[in-house]
Amino acid sequence: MKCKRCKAQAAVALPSHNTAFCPDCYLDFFSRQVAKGIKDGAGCGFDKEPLFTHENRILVAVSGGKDSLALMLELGLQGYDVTGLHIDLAIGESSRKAREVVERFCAAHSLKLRVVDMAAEGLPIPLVKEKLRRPICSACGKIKRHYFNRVALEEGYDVLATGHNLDDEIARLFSNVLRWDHTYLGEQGPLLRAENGFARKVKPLWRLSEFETANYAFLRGIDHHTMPCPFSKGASFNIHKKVWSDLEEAMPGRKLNFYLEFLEKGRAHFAPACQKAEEALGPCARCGYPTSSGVCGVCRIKEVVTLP
Amino acid sequence: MTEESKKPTEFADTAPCHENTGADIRVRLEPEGRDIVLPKTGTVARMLQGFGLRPTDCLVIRHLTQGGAELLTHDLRTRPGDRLTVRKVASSG
Repeated sequence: MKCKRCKAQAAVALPSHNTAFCPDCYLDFFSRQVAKGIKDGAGCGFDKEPLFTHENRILVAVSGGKDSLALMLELGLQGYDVTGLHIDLAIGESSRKAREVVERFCAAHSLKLRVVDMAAEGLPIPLVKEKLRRPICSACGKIKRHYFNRVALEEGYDVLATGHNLDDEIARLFSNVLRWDHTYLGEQGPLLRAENGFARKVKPLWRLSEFETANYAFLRGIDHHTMPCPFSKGASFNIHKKVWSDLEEAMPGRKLNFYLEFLEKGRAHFAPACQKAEEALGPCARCGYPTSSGVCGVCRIKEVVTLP
Repeated sequence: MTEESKKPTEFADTAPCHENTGADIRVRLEPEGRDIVLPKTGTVARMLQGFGLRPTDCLVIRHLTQGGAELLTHDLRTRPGDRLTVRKVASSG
């Protein structure tokens, strides 16, 4: 197989784009896809506004996985002002290794890094899991989002960027459709504007699949964290991703097409439900961050964790 | 070569259980950390099919004898003596 551009030996074949690239042309393709994702924002219609500009201070949530590290490196190479934010979840060996990877990566590429330690915040995830007695993934996600938002707002960043890729977005969209969750469907997309105590949130890798970011990470020599979270076994998003991989194999390009069509034709229909939910938000009585229930989810988790 | 000897052999790092003639293809599966020996060459696509994987489920990395590594597309053939890593791309939380 030859590179579609320069005819050298291909290193990456992309059935969804009906093309293949050599290493150099692939890195160029990847950069262009990220740049297009940033420039188009939500990708279509009235939402077509850039996710951020070179004047913005960008906080990048970095877990240590390939996607977040690839995002941070690529944004840095494109000249954006980026700072990494790593949440140390205190899940034993898994978290220790992830933190090491992130610290080493940022040092090697001279990138700024901020670490928030959940053990120091009184919310080590194993303890949260033990006390809550319900699936931990949603609580862990809630805690991470809370601290992403908090650091972004309190430390004056213009935007919070996450490494969510097309597969993540499709899995989430699919999950929201399976539950017909109007509120989540109304706000899903690569851009969430800052409002009501929430920082502006963006997903610059929304046009790129996991396979594409994995190839980029390899070709850039990114040493990333591969140890799976010991608590995520059987999580539904893994099942949704598998369903979509089967569909994509039979119909190459279907993932990106489905997502783009949702942004263009589907999302607006759910916007009223989303607006209603936003109107119900008020500041948390304890921490001041937005909630629809007086005391926010994270403060309630903290309360449960501190019970004897 | 018998039919039995054509089958892939799983081996542990510290205790090789397959006689290495130098022509075997050794494959490390990540993130599981499993090692497999394939006794004969074939296309990357065919090898992945044997592991129950699609070409876009993983990277196929060939470790070069002179150092470094390269990516293989699914149409390429493995070579005798290849040292490969098959790295699944799906993040799992």
